Amino acid sequence: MSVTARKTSVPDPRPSWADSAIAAAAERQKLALSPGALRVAQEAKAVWAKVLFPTPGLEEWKYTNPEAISKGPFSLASEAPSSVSADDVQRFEIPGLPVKRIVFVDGVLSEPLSSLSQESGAKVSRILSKEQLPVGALGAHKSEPFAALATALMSDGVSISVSPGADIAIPFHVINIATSAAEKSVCTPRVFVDAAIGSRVTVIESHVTLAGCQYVTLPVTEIRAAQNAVVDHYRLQDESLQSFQVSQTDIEIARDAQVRAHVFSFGGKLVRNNVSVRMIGSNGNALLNGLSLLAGSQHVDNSTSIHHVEPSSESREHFKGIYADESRGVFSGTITVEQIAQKTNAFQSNQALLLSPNASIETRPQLKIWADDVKCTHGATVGQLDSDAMFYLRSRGIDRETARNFLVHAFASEVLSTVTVEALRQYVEGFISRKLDTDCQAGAAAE
Amino acid sequence: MSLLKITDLHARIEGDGREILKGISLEIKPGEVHAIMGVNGSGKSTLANILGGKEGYEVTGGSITFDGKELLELDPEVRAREGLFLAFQYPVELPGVLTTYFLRTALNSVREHKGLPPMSVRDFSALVKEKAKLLELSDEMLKRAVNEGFSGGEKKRNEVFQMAVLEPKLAILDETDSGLDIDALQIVAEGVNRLRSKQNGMLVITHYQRLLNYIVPDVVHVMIDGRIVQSGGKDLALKLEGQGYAAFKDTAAA
Repeated sequence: MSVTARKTSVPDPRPSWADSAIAAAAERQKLALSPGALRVAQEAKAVWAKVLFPTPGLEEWKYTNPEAISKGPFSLASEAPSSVSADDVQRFEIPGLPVKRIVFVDGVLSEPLSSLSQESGAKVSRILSKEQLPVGALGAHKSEPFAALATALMSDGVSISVSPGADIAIPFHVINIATSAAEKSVCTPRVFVDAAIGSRVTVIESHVTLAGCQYVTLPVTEIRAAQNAVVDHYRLQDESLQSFQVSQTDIEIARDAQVRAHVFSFGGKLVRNNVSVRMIGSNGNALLNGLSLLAGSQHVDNSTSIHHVEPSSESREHFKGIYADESRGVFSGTITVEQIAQKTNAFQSNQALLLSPNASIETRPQLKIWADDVKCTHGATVGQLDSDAMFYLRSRGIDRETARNFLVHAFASEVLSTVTVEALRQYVEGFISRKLDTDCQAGAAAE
Repeated sequence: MSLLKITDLHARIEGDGREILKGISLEIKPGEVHAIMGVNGSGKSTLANILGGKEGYEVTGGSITFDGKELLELDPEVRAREGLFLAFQYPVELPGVLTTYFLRTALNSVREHKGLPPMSVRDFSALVKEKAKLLELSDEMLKRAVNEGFSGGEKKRNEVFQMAVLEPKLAILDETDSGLDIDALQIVAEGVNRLRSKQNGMLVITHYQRLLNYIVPDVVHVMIDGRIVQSGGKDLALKLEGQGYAAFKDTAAA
């Protein structure tokens, strides 16, 4: 009796708005999704009904409390996309980089703003097309609570399917734009990248905003790199400082295949990035890089999991964060090496640069190694601006703020050096410069 | 007017009661090269760091004027723009900071302070090429990040190279000769000597007399335990080499 009483007195952490959003999504799904996708959405609904909603009581969510997302309330974004002009979209283009553009407005694909034409070697399909697409094939919705919710709410998305041997030189740029109509809504854009044997493709996903409103985005990206395929994926977050995002990136790497995935976080109030990699073939190669530059009370949590299930694959991950004001970073990196996965190489590092005494970082490496012939290393460092380096720069006539910016760019450069698309690297450098100039006050620089 | 005038300077490391500089006075006039010689721990580098404006030191007495201005009131970057240059004993490596970008920003900060427009990329390239040749720095080294992977000697040459580009009024060389072989020493000295002029001054801090064969000073000061115990002409350096610091220690104690 007393147990029951205690239970009811604890507030339910689950978002009360989720049920009505799921019901609204179900109406749309019935009309638009293929039977296969519909089955996945229903599966996700069942998972969502049972899964524990994250609270800091759970080990995986110890440092990130999604209570504000749960409170909301948020409702399913309108299926009629708001009007966004070509000029608006242009603001989010990457200068000097020809791309094939795919635009989501408040979570809904805008066909007029997107180039969905059939390219040779790569087929772009809308998930709503009733086509049989491999949506949900990587299965994150079966265990991750937010991926389950996103999949239960699934109402739009694209699948990029690359033919065997096709080398797609022009990157796909998926631009997710939040407009003022997104206020208090939940958006669940979905991308599936299916790279067939020996193909190469680059996909850039930007999350941007035209309005400083509050919304939650639950993007799910699935990347399947078949034998000998090479996929580069970039997620670039510059959302409204009121907004929330929980992203799920699932990656499957077959034999001799390579995936390089980057997460760049600049905007957002509370962001959680789950990246999950399965190395299912020998000689697979995974590179996970992340860079956060935060100010104010921003919070970004990168949670990665790399699972080596076959011998002789290699994973490298390098996450760096620069934290000003009272911002907070979290990094958890789990590396699992199965007993059969001998000759695995896994390298992980997490480095933080704190620009303010009130900023903080939590880092949590976890190695679960069942094989004995492996090379696995991990390391984490936390530091402030090097006072000797600051003095050196200033002694040459460079003012304090410029000197600080030099050192921040230098700190970031290691992660940016793996961005093989030069125009994109410069674009990200530009984000760092702008953010340093606008949001990060030089006064906060540690002396 | 003097270029640099240090009057009865007392200083200690912040948060440490022990006095390191115990009343230093010296005056450098335009065109003069002064050398300060002393053993490790005599306070030479403390003096250089205080002149450069490094944090972590507390000046407890005395004053420093540089070109008529109260030096201690100026931020390090303003000192540099006013024409003071500190060649570091241990230049830091700045991975990710490209040498030419760094140096052009520095030069343009100095120029802006003087009311000059930024130097064009083309003029800057020409200037860098000329000065790099003087210091025998290769193109490859200039393309790297500041001092990254440089040997000790290369770092010192890079210091003098930066000095040659920035053309300061007063250069302070803090043990620029340490860790240099004879060839590198000659290259560095040649770079330094090119900067000597009727208007400019230099303060050469060293442990050894050897450097002063190549950069011939007008005045030599012997520093022991935070004090200048004797000043004289260039022959003083030779005397020091011959007799050792011990002889001077006695005069300091007397």
